[in-house]
Amino acid sequence: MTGVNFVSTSAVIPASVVVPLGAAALMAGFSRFLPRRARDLIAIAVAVATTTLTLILMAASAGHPMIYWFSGWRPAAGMVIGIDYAVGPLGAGMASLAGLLASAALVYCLRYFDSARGRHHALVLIFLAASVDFCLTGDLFNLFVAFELVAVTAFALTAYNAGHPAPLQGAINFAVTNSLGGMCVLMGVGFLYARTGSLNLAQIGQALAGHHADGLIVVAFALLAGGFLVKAAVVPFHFWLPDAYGSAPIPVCVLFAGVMSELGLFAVIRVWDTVFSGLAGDPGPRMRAVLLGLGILTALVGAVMALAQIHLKRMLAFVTVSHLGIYLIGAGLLTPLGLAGASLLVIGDGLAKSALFLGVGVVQHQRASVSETKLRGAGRGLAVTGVTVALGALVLADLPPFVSAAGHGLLVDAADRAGLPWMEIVIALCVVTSSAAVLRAAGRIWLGWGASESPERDSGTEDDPGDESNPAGTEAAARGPGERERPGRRKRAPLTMVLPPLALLAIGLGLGLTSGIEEHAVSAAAAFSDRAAYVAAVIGPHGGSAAARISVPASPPVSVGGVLTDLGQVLAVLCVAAIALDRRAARLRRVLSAGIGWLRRLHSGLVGDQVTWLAAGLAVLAALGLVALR
Amino acid sequence: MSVLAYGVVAWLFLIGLYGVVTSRNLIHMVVCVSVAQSATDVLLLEIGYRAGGHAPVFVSLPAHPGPAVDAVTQALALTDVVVGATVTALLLALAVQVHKRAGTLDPDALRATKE
Repeated sequence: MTGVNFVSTSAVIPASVVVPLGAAALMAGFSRFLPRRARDLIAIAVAVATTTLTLILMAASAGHPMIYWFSGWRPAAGMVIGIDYAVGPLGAGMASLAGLLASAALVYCLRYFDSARGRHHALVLIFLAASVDFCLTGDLFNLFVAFELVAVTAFALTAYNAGHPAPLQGAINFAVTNSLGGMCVLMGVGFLYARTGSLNLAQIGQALAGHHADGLIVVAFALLAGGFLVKAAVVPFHFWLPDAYGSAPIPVCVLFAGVMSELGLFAVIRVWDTVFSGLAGDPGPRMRAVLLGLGILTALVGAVMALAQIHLKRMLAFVTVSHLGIYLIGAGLLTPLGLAGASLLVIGDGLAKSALFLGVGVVQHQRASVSETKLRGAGRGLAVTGVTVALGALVLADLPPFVSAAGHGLLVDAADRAGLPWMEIVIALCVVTSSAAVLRAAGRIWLGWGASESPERDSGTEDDPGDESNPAGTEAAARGPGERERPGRRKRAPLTMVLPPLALLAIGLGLGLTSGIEEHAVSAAAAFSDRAAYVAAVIGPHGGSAAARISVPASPPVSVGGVLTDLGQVLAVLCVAAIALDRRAARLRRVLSAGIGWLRRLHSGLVGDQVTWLAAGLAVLAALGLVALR
Repeated sequence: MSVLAYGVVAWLFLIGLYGVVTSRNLIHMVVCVSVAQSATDVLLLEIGYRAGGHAPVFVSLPAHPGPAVDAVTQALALTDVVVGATVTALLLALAVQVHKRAGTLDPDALRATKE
């Protein structure tokens, strides 16, 4: 890399946060002086610019991490004083996914709200800036600040339609549980600082390397991991997620489902790799068992609950939970191959889930309902959106050649190499179940298949309000004049709402067809999880072993078997969806739905219950941490 | 001293959690969140505390100033206070909205209105 090139890219690093943050401040202060269109276009331009900057970073940091020291406070003699950004291709890629989804959400907003005030755009841009900060930072306390900034803007965005009780309830549950999670993170940061005297991830890791974990380290781990897993919505910390996603405005759901919870997992793995992985006694294999267990539990619970929903946004929320479990399985294998598979899945599924949320938004906008049963056969006239939703459901089932199929292939291969071939079956089961739920909804809404009132209703769907935007008249009256979503009108859906989901799916297809994307993902993941190379890049040669050559494991060639597995999975999704719609299988459905009644009752939506689970989860995590680290 | 401080941290956090779990009033719940939050501030200050240390202000010091308490944890605690104030303000605003729409501050009643 030439000197000139280096100077220019090192200016790009802070710019990728400063640009959206500065624009958000200006937007909040001066948007009232701008016409509405100008506001919208400026916000979109800023989001696109941020995406471009992070894409440049992703390309520039491939091969070696880029370190940026704020105000030039470089480490001296192996001692870190300043705050750094440690940019790698994985973090920058995550940030650019956030930028892309923010751009899509803002385009969608052009017609979704009657008049989106500057405040909404400002919040979205702060959310974006904080996400980028989260992905790039190399400082533990900065990670906490970004965590809280993402969270607080997300609380406000969830409650954007404050005229309705459901968003209020969702926002309160979300805010209380995630604030408590934030406190856990901060206490974990405090304990690590008390032990090591540093807030820099590399330096903390260096100070802990080779030492045996004692009680303080275990507590710090449990607090940090627990706090981040609240955001990552891993069972039993996941209860807030369906309440928040089910009631937030659609463009906000896109940001949430695509990046927010994934950031929590990102932080868990980042902190594990840089801080805890060097502990003496080789804690890796035991920690792998803990993370895989949590991942499997989350994937199963999410998939089963998704199938039991008829409220479309809650269904997609549980699909998200299930996917988070699968990502945790991939990342929890603690191998570059597994992490690479999870990363590609995050991108592929994130794009597809966002497209699905946007498609549901079109239906809500045009038909004023998000209840699968109430909308039976109501899809006529929304054919393009129907195709989008059906295709999105199949992409979630790893339809080749979309990029999620590549991620699935890598993940399965990684599990095989780790000696866990049965993991493939668990993953397939969860993916098929959750995707079939979405496809069932598409079949009912656009083809009019299945019974109009689902039999599951009888056996108690108390956590299913079913229809959040019932009678359009009362709703419009209940909401403030400026921020109401347009009630359903029998007009053609605007192109700015129909096209963004298709564009997102097309990007997923394009990435899937890019040759060598698996190799890129594997080398990015290898760079991400190599602690020695990270320490050497941040602290310099004083910090320990000199820049170790990152060994990139060979990624598997695209095999016919892999493609056949994916196609089999897609076929299974079609079958399960058909069974779910078939009138003759009503009895089977009733038995199954009675069998999971207890699980549904656990999702009570009461914030007290959710905090109880959080406390119990923390205790369990501390016990598991004790076993794994010592 | 030190044991007492850590005991206070654990007590504040757990009693805050207990309050949130059992709360029947949103304002009460928000205050309980703040109580739990204050545990983190006490923890940070305790971590940075040095017995007999002076305030971390390094201008016009005497010849042998002795140890100072850690300025870093104070900065962290200050940031945490700002975060806590933001969250509290937001939650209280939500509570006001709930009272306006549902006519109650009972978090459980809110769920009933949802159905």
